This record gives sequence, structure tokens and C-alpha cells, in this order.
Amino acid sequence: MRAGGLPDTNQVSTEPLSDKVLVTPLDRASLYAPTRAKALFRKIEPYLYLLPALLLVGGLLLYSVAHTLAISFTDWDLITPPRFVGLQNYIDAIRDPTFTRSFSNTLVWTGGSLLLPVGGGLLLAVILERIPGQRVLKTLIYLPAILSTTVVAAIWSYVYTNNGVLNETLRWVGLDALARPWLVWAPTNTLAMIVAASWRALGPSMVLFLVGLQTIPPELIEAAKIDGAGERLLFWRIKLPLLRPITAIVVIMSVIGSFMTFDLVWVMTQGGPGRSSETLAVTMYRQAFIMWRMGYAGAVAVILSAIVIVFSISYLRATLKRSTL
Amino acid sequence: MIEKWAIRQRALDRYLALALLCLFAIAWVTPLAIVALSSMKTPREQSQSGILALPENAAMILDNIASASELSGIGNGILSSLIYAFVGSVTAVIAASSAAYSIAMLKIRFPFFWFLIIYSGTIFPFQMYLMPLFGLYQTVGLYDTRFGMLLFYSAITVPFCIFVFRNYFIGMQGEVIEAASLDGASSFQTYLRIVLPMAKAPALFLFVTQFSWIWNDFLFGQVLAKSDDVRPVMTSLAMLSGTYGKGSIPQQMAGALTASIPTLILFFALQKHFMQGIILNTAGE
Amino acid sequence: MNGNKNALLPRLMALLLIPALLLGGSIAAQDDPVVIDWANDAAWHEAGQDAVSEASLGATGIGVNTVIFSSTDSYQAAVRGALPTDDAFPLFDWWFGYRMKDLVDAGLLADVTDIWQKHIDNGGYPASMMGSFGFDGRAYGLPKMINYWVVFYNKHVFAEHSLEVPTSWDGLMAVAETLKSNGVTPFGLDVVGCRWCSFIWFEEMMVRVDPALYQSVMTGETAYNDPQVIAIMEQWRDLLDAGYFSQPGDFADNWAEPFVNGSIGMFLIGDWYTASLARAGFVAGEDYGIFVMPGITEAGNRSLIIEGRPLLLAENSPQRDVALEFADYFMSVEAQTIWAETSDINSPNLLAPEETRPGHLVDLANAVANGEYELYTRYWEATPPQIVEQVVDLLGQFVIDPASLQTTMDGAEQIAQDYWASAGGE
Repeated sequence: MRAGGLPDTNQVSTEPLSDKVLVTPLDRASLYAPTRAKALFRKIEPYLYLLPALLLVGGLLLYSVAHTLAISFTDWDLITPPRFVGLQNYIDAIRDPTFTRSFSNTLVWTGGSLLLPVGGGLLLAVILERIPGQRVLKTLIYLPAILSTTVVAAIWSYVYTNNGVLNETLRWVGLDALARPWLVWAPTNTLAMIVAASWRALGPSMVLFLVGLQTIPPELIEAAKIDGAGERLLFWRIKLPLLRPITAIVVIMSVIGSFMTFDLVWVMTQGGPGRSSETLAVTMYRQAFIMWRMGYAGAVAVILSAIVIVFSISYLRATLKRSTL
Repeated sequence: MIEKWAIRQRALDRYLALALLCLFAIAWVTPLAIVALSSMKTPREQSQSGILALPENAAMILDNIASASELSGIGNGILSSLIYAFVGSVTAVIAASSAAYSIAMLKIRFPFFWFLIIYSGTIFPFQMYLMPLFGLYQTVGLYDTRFGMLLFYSAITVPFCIFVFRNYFIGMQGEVIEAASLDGASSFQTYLRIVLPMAKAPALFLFVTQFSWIWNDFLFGQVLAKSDDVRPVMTSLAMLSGTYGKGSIPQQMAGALTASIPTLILFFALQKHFMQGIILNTAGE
Repeated sequence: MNGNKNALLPRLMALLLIPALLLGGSIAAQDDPVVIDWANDAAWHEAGQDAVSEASLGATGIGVNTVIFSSTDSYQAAVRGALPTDDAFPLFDWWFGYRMKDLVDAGLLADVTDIWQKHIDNGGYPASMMGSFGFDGRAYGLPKMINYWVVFYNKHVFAEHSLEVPTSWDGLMAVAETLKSNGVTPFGLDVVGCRWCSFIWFEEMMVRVDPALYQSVMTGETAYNDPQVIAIMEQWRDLLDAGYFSQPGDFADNWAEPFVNGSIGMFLIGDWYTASLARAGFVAGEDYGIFVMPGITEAGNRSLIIEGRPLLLAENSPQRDVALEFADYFMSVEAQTIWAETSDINSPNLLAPEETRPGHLVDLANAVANGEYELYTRYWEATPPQIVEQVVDLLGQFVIDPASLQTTMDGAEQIAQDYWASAGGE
């Protein structure tokens, strides 16, 4: 990788003969060194573009991942030296009955986020595309995205209390039967929190889809219309396939986001009551910062990441066939 | 006859859809009204009136903002956070776009591997970065420095950016290579003069979203720094809330509103560039 | 490998700095004020700590710089993470009892027995108090705050329904019944927004019936599913079934609100709730009062739950000695008066002037000083955190589903047994 490396003698023979003929060895050094350096530079230049990102991500984030991976094989409470325990943390994690519940809650979060912010965002984008006043509506829908999770959680706590905004509205409309304690019982509490999270996440995914829709060549739509395609056909046959690169981004980010779901749950229910709304990321956090079992938490984090990376790779391979996979 | 009816019906449908959308939009912003209304009340009023009741004196918001910023010492954090959010997201956008350029358009070996390496920064739960980074920062002397915070914020925002840029560039490939070879430009010139300007829209979109992310972070700001002039704005603001906090609910809400102003301004200022300007890669397949 | 390489630079710099420090230090030590960090997770303590710092600068030349963490979890993480190193916060707030045990066992806390001894001899602190701040006769923490767990009652609500402060358990039940029949929730209890709050009534019912039993459950001698414990839990369950408690999900994350607006009449909580109420504009004596919950049995009449917030000193901090000097000053009447007055709390120093303390807390403190109550450590700190953190989740489940009493206590016993078995083995 060294840019100013020693001249490689083997390289000489591969150079075109005509270049060699006219110069003395002494000249050669002065004439060719820069060229060879240039050739070398040309070879490594593409990698130089990777360098800043690699240094930042590798030096801070991947360092931490490696550290956590190492810790996941130990018992560590932050104040006494880590003790090697092999795979014990992984075994404990998978055997723990709450792990199964966290896992299924996490899957509910994933499904919910695919339905609401992703599906809902797509639907809104398609509707808003052809409606007057879309600018205002788009902006309104995007607004919650600028708030921090803590504020979102605080707001929705007021919406969901027994005499909160939601239940009062339901009673006012006459839908008393639907009014209930939203954050108390599983699975209602998880679903309620998914709605709160989607409130914040819908705007950005809608914007991404809108952007994607605008790039679909109008000729294509016109041609399809002339062929007699209805709105529905147009959507499934033309728009959706052409939106694929955008969909890939939104889907992957949303899946990752739901696997990492933590802040909102931690503020609203802390995974309770009785651990009923815990997600995998909450389990991990709880083990790390409540129980001080950094190794156990590390193991959960590693399992979590493994799931996400397997999903990402297979999803990317399936959707983006003709790219530099 | 039937055609006319169909047209009228379609127009009706449209108005109905519009009405439904408006209703939806009102429901959508109601939770925001909670923040706005609460921030205009006195603490006692907040407790004793309904959550959506109108405030007795809307000017109370000024008092609340003043006391919120005084109690939390928010002033110190604003400058730091502006630096972190601006420099951090710009750094991330540059680092990610150049890496994505290399991965998508230049001849490197194992492009997908390099992509995965950088992208893998997003697949790890953020909370797990806390302790390793805390240890690392203390050892190398980055703990409680603005530079350290900046490095972290740049690093944490790179992976998402690279994902968006890569997908975008893969679609652009053909056009760029064509344009560049006509010019006889070097790869750096291609990046600077052709790729970046063409990627203006996703770059701005990423700048806005990553700016917001950094601006809204309070956890890392709290653990990786301890002094008032290094800690970001949200860490200061968080002192108002919670059982052990200093502030009342109206003060917290007023603080939250005030703190969203920069991201709001940024969104409105740049919105039209990225909402209309992105010519996206539909050729990604 | 990474770590070693990284550590080199700061070490080299430190080496270069040593001569400079030796030269400068000897001169500076006398005149220049030293300012050391004091970390805590309670933002509302900042003003009080700043005021003490100012006074201390004048008296001892040592000031403190308050570092606030607004998230309790990451506060603990940062403190624990740094404690074994010389970057440890020299002064920091913690939790007493079992919550400081692992730090003591790991040798990370400075021994402050001498400071205690000096101030006990002065008559500032009762000798009995030191025991809660350490183990085996040594003290490792100083009392920054002492809080008692009492019932807060809304005076307007009580007046409206012509109620008096109850002096017996039956009286309390009569008050609850009156409130309930008038549409006011008698007791507030939040187990949705507050994970740990589920232990409040568990410990209170236990000490109101049989305080000795409570202590033996804490030490693992009596099982959580012991028939006697179950019987007490059944009494609590009856109160839940009678509708004397707020419904799960009644509160947003703000506890002051339902109390201030009168939708609940009473709130059993630590007396630090005073500060939360003050922030909501509620005035002690005028808007609300406090009383100690009457006992269910004679033995339970004299019980009082105590919570201590200790100030700890890091053994590994290079500023340990300076911190010790400051800690000594902090215990003094002068510092305590300033600290309590600015923070609106009751100083544990018996010599602190009465007029500087919040009136409604003074009577209680005096009653405690006169030996009218037996103090029992709060559940949170009375038994190992590994047990507490899991049992509070089970108790939370019990509050929303009182029928699950037996499974709750069986589960709690399982957790306790697992812990005591492994702790005994080590």
C-alpha cells in the first residue's frame, strides 16, 4: 500500500520494449521513476477514495464491534477484569425465555415498520403525487421527523394514557369499545409504539419515494396509459419495478432500524410492564447498563448484527441483480 | 353521458381523497400541537388543564424558553452542536460519496466487500458503541474534546450515506463514464466536476437527515464528553427532563421546540432541492 | 495491540509534563484553587453543588465542577467505566447499601471512615448512620442526601371531602374508601412509565406488617414465596382489587401532574418528590402535606423506609487526596447548610440550623432523630441489584395482573435462589 515504494525490478520486463531502447540506465531512473510511480498511483488511486470512509468507520465503529465481539466471550462488569467464558453468553442468551419474546417483538417491529413507514410512505407518495396542495401536505407529514426520539416518546405518552388524547377522541367519536390502556398489555403496547415510531419515520420514507416517482420518465407512463393500463396496473407494472433502487434503501434502512429499536421503547415502557414489550436491542441494553453483564450484552449485539447482515446481503443480492455485487 | 358522469365521479373521488388526506393531516399534526400548547402554559396550568386545552396566556412561551435555556445552559451546546452537525455531516457526505464513487465506478477489487465493510457500521446497535468508544477515547485523549465528538459524528453517519450514494452511483455509471471519457478527465476531476454536481440532490438530502441525526444525539454527547463547551445541545437540554431533571413539562417542551428550529430551517431551506432535484437511478437493475 | 499503540502518545506526553508539573505544582499548590469534578445524574443538584463549591473555594481552596448526566444508565456506565482508571471522577454520587458493594469489593472506593468519625465526634451525625454507608465497620460513602418514604397527600382534595390525616391503618382505609366513592383515585402508582416503581408498595406493605420478615427476605433467609410473605402480598392484592390504585396506563411520564390536578389523593414516594412538586408549582404545607403510613400491625407502626444518596470518592483518581479534603468540608455544618438551603432538601447534619430546612421535612427528621422510627433500607438497595432488577419486572406484572400473585412470588424466589446459589459459590 505504500505509495512511494521501491522500484520493482520485475516490472521492467513487462514494459514495452520500444521505451527501453533509447535510454541509458542512468537516464532510465530519472525518466521512468515518475512514470512507474504514476502507474502505481493509478493502481492504488481508486482505493484512496475509500480511505477517509474506511478510516472513520474502521477506526471508531469497527474497532468497537471487534471490541464487543471479544468481550462477548467474557464475563465483564466494567470494574473487574474480563474473565473468559467461551460461548457461555451466547448459550445463556438463546436459552433465556425473554430472548424468545424479545425476538418475536423485534419481528413484530420489523413487520410493522415495513407496513407503516415503508408501505404507508409508498402509498402516500403515490397519492400525493397527483393531488393539489401536495407541498403543504408533504411538509406536514415530514415535520415529526425533525423531533428527537425523546420528545416523540414524551408526546405519545400523552396520546396513549388512559385519559389521553387518543382515548378521549375515540370516546368523543363514539368508539368507546376501542378505548383502552395502550401501553399496558402485550401485544397492544408494541403495536402502539410502532405507530408512534412510524409517525416520525413516515415522512422521510415518503420523501424518498416521491423523489423516486419523479424520476420515472413521463413517456413511459404515457405509453402505458395509451396501451390502456389503469392506475392499478400502472402502479404494479411500471412504478413499483422502477422504484426498486429506492425501495431497497427504504426497506433495508427500515429493517435495520426496527432491529435496533431501542430509544422509544426505553423511554415509553422500558420494555415493560413485566418485560412484555422488550425488543432485542432493549434486552441488550438492559444486560449492559442495568445488569452490567457487558459480555452477555455483547453476545446479544453480535447475534442481532449477524441477523441483519445476513438479511441485508440476501436482500441486496435479490433486488439489485445487475450491480457490482 | 356515461363519460360525463365518469368525469364528474372522478372529480368527486379526487375531492373525497383530498378531504380524507386533510383529515389525516390534522390527525397527524395533533401530537405536535401537544408540544406547542404545553410550551405556552405555566407548570400548574399544564397539570390542571387538559392536554389539548388552549393556554391562558400564549406569551408564557417566551418565559418558558428563557427559563429552559437558563436552566439547561443550552447556549454552550448550540455552538458545539452547530459545528458537529455541520462539519460532521459534510465530512460524512464527502467521505461517503468518494468511497461510493470508488466502489461503484472505479476499478477496484472486491467492491462489494469494501461496501459491506463500510456499510456494516449501521448494522450494529448504537448503544454497544458506547463503552468501547469511551475506553478508546480516554486512552487516546479524545475524551471530552470537540475533535473527538466530530470524529465520532462523522463516522457514525458515513455508513447510511454510503448506502444511498452507492445505489445512486450505480445507476449513474453509464452517463458519467461517457462524459468523462469525452473530456479526458482524471478520476479525481471526474469525481469533482461530474459526479459530485450530479449527486447534488442525494447529497443535500443526506446532509439534511444526517445533520438532524447529529443535532438530536444526546447519548454519545453525554458519555464521550463532560464539559459544557464540548457537550452538544441535546445533552444540555436533557437536564430539564426526567425525575431528577430541573425543568417543568412546559419548560421541557419549550426547550424541545427551540432546539428543533435549526433542523426546521434547514429542512425548509433545502427541501425543494432534494424533493424535486433528484434524478434517480432507475437503471439500478 | 491497538490499545498499546494508542496508549503510547498520552504516556509520552505525560512524561514530558512531569517535570513541568513538579516545577509548577510545588508553587501552585499553595495559592491556586484546585477544581475537581463531581459527577451525578441529578440535574437539580447542580445549583446546590455550585454554591458549596464557591464556599469551599473560600474555606479550603478546593472547588468542584459539576458534571451532570441526565440518563442514569449512561451515568453509571461512564462512572464504572472510568473507575478502574486514573480518569475516574474523583467525586460522584451513587446509591448506598448493596448498590455500592461491588465497587467496594473491587477496591475502587476511598475509605472515608476517618472523616465520618470526626464528624460523629463533633455531634453532627448519629453514629448509627455510618453503617449504611459501608461494610464491616468501614465507611466508603458520605451522606449527600437522606430521604424517607412517606405518603404525600393533596390538601385541597382532603379538605374538599373533609378528610383528616389518618393515624391508623383503618383510618387510612376509610380515607381511601371516601376518596374512591367520590371519584378520586386514592393512591397513585405507575408501573408502565416507571419500571422500578412496582417495589414501592411491596416494601411498604412488608414493613407495615412485619419489618423483621422484610429484612430476612432481603438477606435471602426467607423465601419470596414464603406463606407469610404471600399473606402480606394478598393484603396488597386486596387493595388493588378494591380499586384503591390508579389504573396502569393512567399516567404519562409525569408523576406530579395527576397529584397536582387532584385526580389522585395520595402518593407514596421518597420525600425528594418535594422537588418535583415544587417544579410543578405545588407548595408544601399549602397545597400538600406528608404523613408516615400507619402500621397494619403494631410492629409495623414504627417502621420507616430510608434511602441514602452517598457521595463516593474514587480510590484511583490522582485527585483522591484533594477529594478527601473537600469531602471533609462537605460534611461540615457550614457546607451542609448551604447545600440543603440551595437544594430545598433536609440536611442529614444534626447541627445544621433548623430554619434552613423545608418545614414539612424537619418534623420527620426530628422524629427520626428522637428514635421514634426504626429505619429500613429501601428495597432498591437492601438486596443485591441482580435480584432487584429482575424482581421489579415481576412485581410490575403483578400490579397489572393481580391474579398472578403466586407465579410472581415463585418467580421472584427462583431469581433470588439463583443469585444466592451463585454468590455463595464464588
